[in-house]
Amino acid sequence: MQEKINEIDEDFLWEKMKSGDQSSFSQIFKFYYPKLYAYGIRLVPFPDFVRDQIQDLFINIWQTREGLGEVFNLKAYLFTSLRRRLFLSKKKKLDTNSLESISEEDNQILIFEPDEFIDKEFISASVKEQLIRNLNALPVNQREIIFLRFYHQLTYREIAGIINIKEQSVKNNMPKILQKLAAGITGISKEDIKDIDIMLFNLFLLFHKNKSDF
Amino acid sequence: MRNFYLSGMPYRNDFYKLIADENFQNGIIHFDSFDKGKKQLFIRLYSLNKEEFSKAKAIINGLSFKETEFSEAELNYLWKKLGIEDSEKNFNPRQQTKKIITWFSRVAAILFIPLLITSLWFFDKTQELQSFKHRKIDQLTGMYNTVSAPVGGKTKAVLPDGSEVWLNSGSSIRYPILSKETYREVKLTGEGFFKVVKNPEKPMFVTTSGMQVKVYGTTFNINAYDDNPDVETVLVEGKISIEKIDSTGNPVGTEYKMKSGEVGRFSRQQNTIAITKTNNTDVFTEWVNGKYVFKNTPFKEILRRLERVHNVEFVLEDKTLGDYNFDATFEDQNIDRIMEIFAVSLPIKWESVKSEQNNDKTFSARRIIITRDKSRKLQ
Repeated sequence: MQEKINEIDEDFLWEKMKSGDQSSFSQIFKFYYPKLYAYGIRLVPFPDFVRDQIQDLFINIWQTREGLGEVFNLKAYLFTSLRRRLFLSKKKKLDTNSLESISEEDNQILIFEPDEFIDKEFISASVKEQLIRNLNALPVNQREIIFLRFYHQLTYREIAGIINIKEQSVKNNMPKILQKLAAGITGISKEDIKDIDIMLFNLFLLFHKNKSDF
Repeated sequence: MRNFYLSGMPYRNDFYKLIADENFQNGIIHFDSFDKGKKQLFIRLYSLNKEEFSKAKAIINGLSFKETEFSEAELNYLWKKLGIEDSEKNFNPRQQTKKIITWFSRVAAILFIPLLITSLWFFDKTQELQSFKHRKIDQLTGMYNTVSAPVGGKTKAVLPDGSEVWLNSGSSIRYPILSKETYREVKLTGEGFFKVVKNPEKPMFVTTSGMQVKVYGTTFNINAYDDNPDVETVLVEGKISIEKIDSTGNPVGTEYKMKSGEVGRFSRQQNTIAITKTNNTDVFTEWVNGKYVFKNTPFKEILRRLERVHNVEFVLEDKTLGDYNFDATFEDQNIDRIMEIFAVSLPIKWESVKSEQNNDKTFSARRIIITRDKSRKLQ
């Protein structure tokens, strides 16, 4: 999936939008709406509510466009704004204290089903199931990080901005998260690594072995 | 650092730190698209052995999510709904949205849609196929199921969501095998009677050429046979809305909300919609039960309706006979009996020309030529 409108185009569209060009705004809207929906629905599983919030977000951007600064990361900006909106509205509804973080009470969100993942030929069903089991067993905050990283292909820096934690914190936690995800998985079967790949490894090993020959 | 051949443990100590690296992840994700040289480079760069590569591939590629897709048509619709294009006219977009949303939540309509009309609104096949990379979805996306009723017969279809559709003679519906996440869609040609399963989160759009019906759960009839000047939508129970659509399937103009007992007529020629009330929805819907109910209907129109049902072609030589109005109810009887019934009230004679079998094994319509019986006087 194309994760961003081409970098150059994005800045251009944003500037044009700010000066009132509806067609540019329409392109931004149509490109990001599906991604925002896919994300929002994970946080708050109510379709109409999420759609409303996305709509309000875009209307708000349009209405305040003249006062907006330059956004050098449009995707992160949109995601952050939506997340904030969803939690604010949720807070109003539930009257909880948590403002920008997900609490463990929200553990039912960001749970994944096998059919939400693409089937890769070289990954057996049991490996896939194990992976998803491990994923759903992660704390909800970590599930969100994985979702943002692997569905939306956001960088750790962007993710840190969206969920409002330090980038270093995300980087430090990732190895631990991945280790938990890998529990019980040894890898794909050797037969599945294509012949050429095996050749590559053998070549490398040959090279390496020669090097370490004392 | 490397315990590879020595201790028998294939993974390096900082294996997870490696696979947490963003650049490494991107390389694994795109590995299969690399040429041989690039593949070699990647493996050398990270000093990967087979086991590490295998495990990294399993984890990182295992987390490939399917993308949530929106069709071009729906995105256009959502953009319009934003109301920004109307904002020049001091129109408050949020209010309009609110109005639509509250109205949607009250909908629980029963409509009889006699026929589904083919329209190109939702079915931009090439676009949908391009955006899906997912292999499984690739097989199903862009694939549609078509159900038709034979000429002279009826058919009942059940849609993926459980909704039921009765199709009248020569009518058909077309719907995607894999339904979209946010809405349901059906294209109608001819006449169909619908009982749509209620789902407020997922409206059903029934499209005919030039017009669409938005439904949340309802029973209704749409008569959109091509040779009718109007598309007739009859709402038996509940609430629906109808609106015109342009050639790309975007809603145009006002959305007309309908109540039970109302008939929405879309005039193809004048491109207008008019809503009227009827006391007799049976007239429009009883065909499902095999009954054709006519109230104060001109003879020629009755004949036209019967033509479809029975696969006959009527030729009325004396046109003035066509203007006489009748109240009548016909059950699925054969044509001869029906003509006898008419002959009681009208001075007519009829002659039928036998149907022939065509090259493709279908039968041509039986022709019935109706002439005035001069020896009888009009009652």
